[in-house]
Amino acid sequence: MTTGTLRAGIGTAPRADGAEAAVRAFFAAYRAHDVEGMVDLCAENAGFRYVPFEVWGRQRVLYGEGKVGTVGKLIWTTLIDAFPDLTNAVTSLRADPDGNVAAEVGIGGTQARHFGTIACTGGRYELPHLFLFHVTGDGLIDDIVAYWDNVGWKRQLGNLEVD
Amino acid sequence: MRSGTRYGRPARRTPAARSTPAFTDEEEDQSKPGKIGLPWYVETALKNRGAIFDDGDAACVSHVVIDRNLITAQNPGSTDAAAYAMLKRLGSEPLSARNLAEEFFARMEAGEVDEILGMMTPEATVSLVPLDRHGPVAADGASYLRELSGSFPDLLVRVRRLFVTGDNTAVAEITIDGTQAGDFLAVVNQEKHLDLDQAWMLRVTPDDRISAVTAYWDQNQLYRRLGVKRLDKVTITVR
Repeated sequence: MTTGTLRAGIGTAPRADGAEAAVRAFFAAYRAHDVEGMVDLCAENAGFRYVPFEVWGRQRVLYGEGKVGTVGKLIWTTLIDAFPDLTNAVTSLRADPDGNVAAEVGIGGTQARHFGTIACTGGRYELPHLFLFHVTGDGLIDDIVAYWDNVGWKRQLGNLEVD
Repeated sequence: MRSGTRYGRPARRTPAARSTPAFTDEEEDQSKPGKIGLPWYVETALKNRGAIFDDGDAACVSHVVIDRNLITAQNPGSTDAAAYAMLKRLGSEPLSARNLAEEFFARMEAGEVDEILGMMTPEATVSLVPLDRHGPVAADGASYLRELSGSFPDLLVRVRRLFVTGDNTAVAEITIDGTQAGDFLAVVNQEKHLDLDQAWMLRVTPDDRISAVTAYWDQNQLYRRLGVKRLDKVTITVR
Protein backbone atom coordinates (compact mmCIF):
# COMPACT_ATOMS: atom_id res chain seq x y z
CA MET A 1 0.00 0.00 0.00
CA THR A 2 1.15 3.46 -0.57
CA THR A 3 -0.25 6.57 0.95
CA GLY A 4 2.56 8.61 -0.48
CA THR A 5 0.07 11.00 -1.96
CA LEU A 6 -1.41 11.85 1.44
CA ARG A 7 0.00 15.31 1.18
CA ALA A 8 -2.46 18.09 1.73
CA GLY A 9 -4.05 19.33 4.86
CA ILE A 10 -3.72 16.48 7.32
CA GLY A 11 -0.17 16.90 8.40
CA THR A 12 1.29 13.77 6.85
CA ALA A 13 5.02 13.92 6.88
CA PRO A 14 6.87 14.60 3.65
CA ARG A 15 9.57 12.39 5.12
CA ALA A 16 7.43 9.31 4.46
CA ASP A 17 7.33 10.28 0.78
CA GLY A 18 11.10 10.70 0.69
CA ALA A 19 11.64 7.39 2.47
CA GLU A 20 9.38 5.58 0.01
CA ALA A 21 11.19 7.23 -2.90
CA ALA A 22 14.57 6.09 -1.55
CA VAL A 23 13.31 2.52 -1.24
CA ARG A 24 11.84 2.54 -4.73
CA ALA A 25 15.15 3.84 -6.08
CA PHE A 26 16.93 1.08 -4.19
CA PHE A 27 14.88 -1.67 -5.83
CA ALA A 28 15.19 0.02 -9.23
CA ALA A 29 18.98 -0.10 -8.84
CA TYR A 30 18.67 -3.73 -7.74
CA ARG A 31 16.66 -4.55 -10.87
CA ALA A 32 19.38 -2.88 -12.93
CA HIS A 33 22.02 -4.94 -11.09
CA ASP A 34 23.63 -1.65 -10.13
CA VAL A 35 25.16 -2.67 -6.80
CA GLU A 36 27.18 0.52 -6.53
CA GLY A 37 23.95 2.45 -7.06
CA MET A 38 22.29 0.46 -4.27
CA VAL A 39 25.17 1.25 -1.94
CA ASP A 40 25.13 4.92 -2.96
CA LEU A 41 21.51 5.14 -1.79
CA CYS A 42 22.64 4.09 1.68
CA ALA A 43 24.33 6.09 4.40
CA GLU A 44 27.92 5.33 5.23
CA ASN A 45 27.96 2.51 7.78
CA ALA A 46 24.35 1.62 7.05
CA GLY A 47 23.29 -1.51 8.91
CA PHE A 48 22.42 -4.70 7.08
CA ARG A 49 20.72 -7.91 8.20
CA TYR A 50 19.37 -10.69 6.01
CA VAL A 51 17.65 -12.68 8.78
CA PRO A 52 17.44 -16.11 7.05
CA PHE A 53 21.05 -15.92 5.93
CA GLU A 54 22.81 -18.40 8.23
CA VAL A 55 25.70 -20.57 7.10
CA TRP A 56 26.42 -23.31 9.62
CA GLY A 57 30.09 -24.21 9.50
CA ARG A 58 31.98 -26.70 11.66
CA GLN A 59 33.25 -24.10 14.08
CA ARG A 60 30.72 -21.31 13.95
CA VAL A 61 27.65 -19.91 12.27
CA LEU A 62 28.06 -17.10 9.77
CA TYR A 63 25.17 -14.66 9.74
CA GLY A 64 24.12 -12.27 6.98
CA GLU A 65 24.59 -9.35 9.30
CA GLY A 66 26.91 -6.36 9.26
CA LYS A 67 27.19 -3.29 7.11
CA VAL A 68 25.75 -2.55 3.68
CA GLY A 69 29.19 -1.59 2.36
CA THR A 70 30.72 -4.92 3.29
CA VAL A 71 28.30 -7.81 3.91
CA GLY A 72 25.39 -6.37 1.93
CA LYS A 73 27.47 -5.50 -1.11
CA LEU A 74 29.08 -8.93 -1.09
CA ILE A 75 25.75 -10.78 -0.86
CA TRP A 76 24.10 -8.69 -3.57
CA THR A 77 27.07 -9.12 -5.92
CA THR A 78 27.21 -12.88 -5.31
CA LEU A 79 23.44 -13.24 -5.79
CA ILE A 80 23.48 -11.37 -9.09
CA ASP A 81 26.44 -13.47 -10.22
CA ALA A 82 24.62 -16.71 -9.37
CA PHE A 83 21.27 -15.52 -10.77
CA PRO A 84 22.17 -13.34 -13.76
CA ASP A 85 18.54 -12.53 -14.58
CA LEU A 86 17.71 -11.67 -10.96
CA THR A 87 14.81 -9.26 -10.77
CA ASN A 88 12.32 -7.85 -8.28
CA ALA A 89 8.85 -6.36 -8.13
CA VAL A 90 7.67 -4.22 -5.23
CA THR A 91 4.15 -5.38 -4.35
CA SER A 92 3.48 -3.11 -1.39
CA LEU A 93 5.20 -0.20 0.27
CA ARG A 94 4.33 1.36 3.62
CA ALA A 95 6.11 4.14 5.49
CA ASP A 96 5.79 5.96 8.78
CA PRO A 97 6.74 9.57 9.48
CA ASP A 98 10.00 8.54 11.17
CA GLY A 99 11.60 7.01 8.08
CA ASN A 100 10.63 3.38 8.68
CA VAL A 101 9.52 1.60 5.52
CA ALA A 102 8.12 -1.90 5.00
CA ALA A 103 8.31 -3.24 1.46
CA GLU A 104 6.90 -6.52 0.24
CA VAL A 105 8.92 -7.55 -2.76
CA GLY A 106 8.84 -10.53 -5.10
CA ILE A 107 12.33 -11.59 -6.10
CA GLY A 108 13.14 -14.20 -8.70
CA GLY A 109 15.84 -15.46 -10.99
CA THR A 110 17.36 -18.40 -12.80
CA GLN A 111 20.36 -20.06 -11.22
CA ALA A 112 23.52 -20.11 -13.34
CA ARG A 113 26.13 -20.78 -10.64
CA HIS A 114 26.33 -22.38 -7.22
CA PHE A 115 25.13 -20.15 -4.42
CA GLY A 116 26.38 -21.17 -0.98
CA THR A 117 25.13 -24.70 -0.33
CA ILE A 118 22.65 -24.53 -3.21
CA ALA A 119 24.22 -26.35 -6.15
CA CYS A 120 23.31 -25.06 -9.57
CA THR A 121 20.73 -27.13 -11.43
CA GLY A 122 19.56 -24.28 -13.61
CA GLY A 123 16.37 -23.93 -11.60
CA ARG A 124 14.31 -20.80 -11.36
CA TYR A 125 12.72 -19.31 -8.25
CA GLU A 126 10.14 -16.69 -7.35
CA LEU A 127 9.91 -15.79 -3.68
CA PRO A 128 8.09 -13.19 -1.58
CA HIS A 129 10.32 -11.09 0.66
CA LEU A 130 9.64 -8.51 3.34
CA PHE A 131 12.22 -5.74 3.58
CA LEU A 132 12.27 -3.28 6.46
CA PHE A 133 14.23 -0.08 5.93
CA HIS A 134 15.06 2.97 7.92
CA VAL A 135 15.70 6.11 5.92
CA THR A 136 17.34 9.23 7.34
CA GLY A 137 15.89 12.72 7.03
CA ASP A 138 18.41 13.25 4.22
CA GLY A 139 16.83 10.43 2.25
CA LEU A 140 19.63 7.92 2.79
CA ILE A 141 18.92 4.34 3.81
CA ASP A 142 20.72 3.63 7.05
CA ASP A 143 19.30 0.21 7.91
CA ILE A 144 18.09 -2.79 5.87
CA VAL A 145 16.51 -5.94 7.28
CA ALA A 146 15.00 -8.68 5.11
CA TYR A 147 12.90 -11.79 5.73
CA TRP A 148 12.08 -14.63 3.36
CA ASP A 149 11.66 -18.38 3.53
CA ASN A 150 14.65 -20.47 2.53
CA VAL A 151 12.55 -23.64 2.37
CA GLY A 152 10.54 -22.19 -0.49
CA TRP A 153 13.73 -20.98 -2.13
CA LYS A 154 15.60 -24.27 -1.83
CA ARG A 155 12.64 -26.42 -2.88
CA GLN A 156 12.30 -24.40 -6.07
CA LEU A 157 16.01 -24.81 -6.80
CA GLY A 158 16.03 -28.54 -6.09
CA ASN A 159 17.93 -28.49 -2.80
CA LEU A 160 16.28 -30.51 -0.02
CA GLU A 161 19.00 -30.32 2.65
CA VAL A 162 18.15 -28.24 5.70
CA ASP A 163 21.98 -27.82 6.15
CA MET B 1 0.91 5.87 -14.18
CA ARG B 2 -0.38 6.34 -17.66
CA SER B 3 -0.68 9.65 -19.41
CA GLY B 4 -2.96 10.95 -22.09
CA THR B 5 -6.37 9.54 -22.80
CA ARG B 6 -7.65 6.38 -24.40
CA TYR B 7 -9.19 8.34 -27.25
CA GLY B 8 -6.31 10.75 -27.68
CA ARG B 9 -8.28 13.80 -26.63
CA PRO B 10 -6.06 16.04 -24.52
CA ALA B 11 -7.15 16.63 -20.96
CA ARG B 12 -8.03 20.21 -20.08
CA ARG B 13 -6.87 21.09 -16.61
CA THR B 14 -8.48 24.01 -14.90
CA PRO B 15 -7.21 25.83 -11.82
CA ALA B 16 -9.89 24.02 -9.84
CA ALA B 17 -8.81 20.57 -11.03
CA ARG B 18 -8.17 18.11 -8.23
CA SER B 19 -5.92 15.10 -8.05
CA THR B 20 -7.84 11.88 -7.81
CA PRO B 21 -7.44 8.20 -8.34
CA ALA B 22 -10.30 5.93 -9.43
CA PHE B 23 -10.79 2.39 -10.56
CA THR B 24 -8.32 2.34 -13.44
CA ASP B 25 -8.89 1.12 -16.97
CA GLU B 26 -6.40 -1.66 -16.20
CA GLU B 27 -8.39 -2.72 -13.13
CA GLU B 28 -11.68 -2.54 -15.05
CA ASP B 29 -10.19 -4.79 -17.72
CA GLN B 30 -9.26 -7.33 -15.04
CA SER B 31 -12.80 -7.42 -13.64
CA LYS B 32 -15.56 -9.72 -14.91
CA PRO B 33 -17.58 -6.90 -16.50
CA GLY B 34 -14.38 -5.46 -17.97
CA LYS B 35 -13.56 -8.72 -19.68
CA ILE B 36 -17.00 -8.75 -21.25
CA GLY B 37 -16.63 -5.16 -22.34
CA LEU B 38 -17.59 -1.83 -20.79
CA PRO B 39 -19.24 1.07 -22.56
CA TRP B 40 -16.94 3.57 -20.84
CA TYR B 41 -14.11 3.78 -18.30
CA VAL B 42 -13.89 5.98 -15.20
CA GLU B 43 -10.18 6.71 -15.62
CA THR B 44 -10.62 7.70 -19.24
CA ALA B 45 -13.67 9.80 -18.47
CA LEU B 46 -11.92 11.64 -15.64
CA LYS B 47 -8.91 12.37 -17.79
CA ASN B 48 -11.11 13.58 -20.62
CA ARG B 49 -12.81 15.96 -18.20
CA GLY B 50 -9.49 17.41 -17.11
CA ALA B 51 -8.96 15.66 -13.80
CA ILE B 52 -5.41 15.14 -12.58
CA PHE B 53 -5.49 11.37 -12.47
CA ASP B 54 -3.22 10.04 -9.76
CA ASP B 55 -3.29 6.25 -9.64
CA GLY B 56 -1.15 3.83 -7.67
CA ASP B 57 2.02 2.19 -8.85
CA ALA B 58 0.25 -1.07 -9.59
CA ALA B 59 -3.26 -2.31 -10.21
CA CYS B 60 -5.37 -3.56 -7.31
CA VAL B 61 -3.20 -2.13 -4.53
CA SER B 62 -4.43 0.37 -1.97
CA HIS B 63 -4.04 3.98 -3.00
CA VAL B 64 -5.57 7.09 -1.47
CA VAL B 65 -5.13 10.69 -2.55
CA ILE B 66 -5.97 13.78 -0.52
CA ASP B 67 -6.12 17.04 -2.40
CA ARG B 68 -7.34 19.90 -0.29
CA ASN B 69 -10.73 18.74 1.03
CA LEU B 70 -11.17 15.91 -1.46
CA ILE B 71 -10.30 12.39 -0.31
CA THR B 72 -10.49 9.74 -3.00
CA ALA B 73 -9.60 6.07 -3.11
CA GLN B 74 -8.74 3.94 -6.09
CA ASN B 75 -10.34 0.56 -5.48
CA PRO B 76 -11.97 -1.68 -2.85
CA GLY B 77 -8.56 -2.47 -1.38
CA SER B 78 -8.22 1.21 -0.45
CA THR B 79 -11.23 1.23 1.86
CA ASP B 80 -9.36 1.07 5.15
CA ALA B 81 -6.82 3.70 4.16
CA ALA B 82 -9.56 6.01 2.89
CA ALA B 83 -11.56 5.66 6.11
CA TYR B 84 -8.45 6.33 8.17
CA ALA B 85 -7.62 9.40 6.11
CA MET B 86 -11.15 10.65 6.61
CA LEU B 87 -10.96 10.22 10.37
CA LYS B 88 -7.65 12.04 10.52
CA ARG B 89 -9.13 14.84 8.43
CA LEU B 90 -12.02 15.10 10.86
CA GLY B 91 -9.59 15.53 13.71
CA SER B 92 -9.82 12.14 15.35
CA GLU B 93 -6.96 11.12 17.54
CA PRO B 94 -4.40 8.82 15.91
CA LEU B 95 -5.48 5.26 16.37
CA SER B 96 -3.65 2.97 18.67
CA ALA B 97 -2.38 0.40 16.23
CA ARG B 98 0.79 0.19 18.29
CA ASN B 99 -1.11 -0.70 21.45
CA LEU B 100 -3.22 -3.19 19.55
CA ALA B 101 -0.11 -4.88 18.16
CA GLU B 102 1.47 -5.07 21.60
CA GLU B 103 -1.71 -6.68 22.91
CA PHE B 104 -1.76 -9.10 19.96
CA PHE B 105 1.76 -10.35 20.70
CA ALA B 106 1.15 -10.52 24.45
CA ARG B 107 -1.87 -12.72 23.78
CA MET B 108 0.17 -14.81 21.34
CA GLU B 109 2.67 -15.44 24.13
CA ALA B 110 -0.15 -16.33 26.52
CA GLY B 111 -1.81 -18.63 23.99
CA GLU B 112 -5.03 -16.60 24.17
CA VAL B 113 -6.19 -17.45 20.69
CA ASP B 114 -9.90 -16.74 21.26
CA GLU B 115 -9.00 -13.31 22.64
CA ILE B 116 -6.86 -12.68 19.55
CA LEU B 117 -9.79 -13.62 17.34
CA GLY B 118 -11.85 -11.13 19.30
CA MET B 119 -9.45 -8.39 18.18
CA MET B 120 -10.18 -9.12 14.53
CA THR B 121 -12.85 -8.00 12.11
CA PRO B 122 -15.22 -10.84 11.15
CA GLU B 123 -13.70 -10.98 7.67
CA ALA B 124 -10.07 -10.70 8.78
CA THR B 125 -7.55 -12.56 6.68
CA VAL B 126 -4.18 -14.05 7.44
CA SER B 127 -1.21 -14.77 5.23
CA LEU B 128 1.44 -16.99 6.81
CA VAL B 129 3.87 -16.66 3.93
CA PRO B 130 6.36 -19.47 4.68
CA LEU B 131 3.51 -21.93 5.27
CA ASP B 132 1.71 -20.80 2.12
CA ARG B 133 -1.42 -20.46 4.26
CA HIS B 134 -3.65 -17.65 3.11
CA GLY B 135 -7.22 -17.40 4.31
CA PRO B 136 -9.54 -16.39 7.12
CA VAL B 137 -7.89 -15.70 10.46
CA ALA B 138 -10.59 -17.72 12.19
CA ALA B 139 -9.37 -20.85 10.39
CA ASP B 140 -5.78 -20.58 9.15
CA GLY B 141 -4.53 -18.09 11.73
CA ALA B 142 -6.22 -19.67 14.72
CA SER B 143 -4.99 -23.18 13.91
CA TYR B 144 -1.40 -21.93 13.63
CA LEU B 145 -1.58 -19.99 16.90
CA ARG B 146 -3.18 -22.92 18.76
CA GLU B 147 -0.52 -25.30 17.47
CA LEU B 148 2.22 -22.84 18.42
CA SER B 149 1.01 -22.38 21.99
CA GLY B 150 0.25 -26.08 22.39
CA SER B 151 3.67 -27.19 21.17
CA PHE B 152 5.60 -24.51 23.07
CA PRO B 153 3.94 -24.12 26.50
CA ASP B 154 6.76 -21.87 27.72
CA LEU B 155 6.54 -19.60 24.68
CA LEU B 156 8.04 -16.14 24.95
CA VAL B 157 7.29 -13.48 22.36
CA ARG B 158 9.64 -10.52 22.36
CA VAL B 159 8.82 -7.47 20.24
CA ARG B 160 12.12 -6.09 18.98
CA ARG B 161 10.86 -3.34 16.70
CA LEU B 162 7.43 -1.85 16.11
CA PHE B 163 6.26 0.98 13.91
CA VAL B 164 2.94 2.10 12.46
CA THR B 165 2.76 3.15 8.84
CA GLY B 166 0.57 5.79 7.24
CA ASP B 167 -2.16 3.30 6.39
CA ASN B 168 -2.38 2.25 10.05
CA THR B 169 -0.49 -1.01 9.66
CA ALA B 170 1.58 -2.09 12.63
CA VAL B 171 4.86 -3.60 11.44
CA ALA B 172 6.71 -5.65 14.03
CA GLU B 173 9.88 -7.66 14.26
CA ILE B 174 9.53 -10.26 16.97
CA THR B 175 11.44 -13.24 18.33
CA ILE B 176 9.55 -16.32 19.45
CA ASP B 177 11.34 -18.44 21.98
CA GLY B 178 10.39 -21.73 23.62
CA THR B 179 11.01 -25.42 24.18
CA GLN B 180 9.16 -27.91 22.02
CA ALA B 181 6.75 -30.10 23.97
CA GLY B 182 4.62 -31.43 21.13
CA ASP B 183 4.69 -31.99 17.40
CA PHE B 184 4.69 -28.69 15.54
CA LEU B 185 4.00 -28.14 11.85
CA ALA B 186 4.59 -31.87 11.28
CA VAL B 187 7.95 -31.79 13.11
CA VAL B 188 8.19 -34.56 15.70
CA ASN B 189 8.85 -33.31 19.21
CA GLN B 190 12.47 -33.72 20.35
CA GLU B 191 12.23 -31.13 23.14
CA LYS B 192 14.46 -28.81 21.13
CA HIS B 193 14.76 -25.14 21.90
CA LEU B 194 13.38 -22.75 19.31
CA ASP B 195 14.34 -19.13 18.87
CA LEU B 196 13.08 -17.65 15.67
CA ASP B 197 12.97 -14.11 14.32
CA GLN B 198 9.78 -13.18 12.51
CA ALA B 199 8.20 -10.10 10.94
CA TRP B 200 4.46 -9.46 11.23
CA MET B 201 2.21 -6.82 9.72
CA LEU B 202 -1.16 -6.12 11.32
CA ARG B 203 -3.51 -3.90 9.36
CA VAL B 204 -5.77 -2.00 11.73
CA THR B 205 -9.16 -0.50 10.85
CA PRO B 206 -10.31 2.92 12.03
CA ASP B 207 -12.38 1.25 14.75
CA ASP B 208 -9.34 -0.53 16.19
CA ARG B 209 -9.86 -3.99 14.73
CA ILE B 210 -7.26 -6.02 12.92
CA SER B 211 -8.41 -6.71 9.38
CA ALA B 212 -5.36 -8.44 7.90
CA VAL B 213 -2.32 -10.24 9.26
CA THR B 214 0.79 -11.10 7.27
CA ALA B 215 3.77 -12.96 8.70
CA TYR B 216 7.20 -13.73 7.34
CA TRP B 217 9.89 -15.99 8.74
CA ASP B 218 12.38 -18.57 7.51
CA GLN B 219 10.95 -22.06 7.89
CA ASN B 220 14.45 -23.44 7.22
CA GLN B 221 15.67 -21.82 10.45
CA LEU B 222 12.72 -23.33 12.29
CA TYR B 223 13.46 -26.81 10.90
CA ARG B 224 17.16 -26.49 11.72
CA ARG B 225 16.46 -25.58 15.31
CA LEU B 226 13.96 -28.43 15.71
CA GLY B 227 16.36 -31.04 14.34
CA VAL B 228 14.96 -31.61 10.86
CA LYS B 229 17.68 -32.64 8.39
CA ARG B 230 15.91 -32.84 5.06
CA LEU B 231 12.95 -30.98 3.61
CA ASP B 232 11.49 -34.16 2.13
CA LYS B 233 11.64 -35.88 5.53
CA VAL B 234 10.33 -33.24 7.87
CA THR B 235 8.64 -35.71 10.16
CA ILE B 236 11.71 -37.99 10.43
CA THR B 237 14.19 -36.41 12.77
CA VAL B 238 17.57 -37.48 14.11
CA ARG B 239 17.96 -37.75 17.86
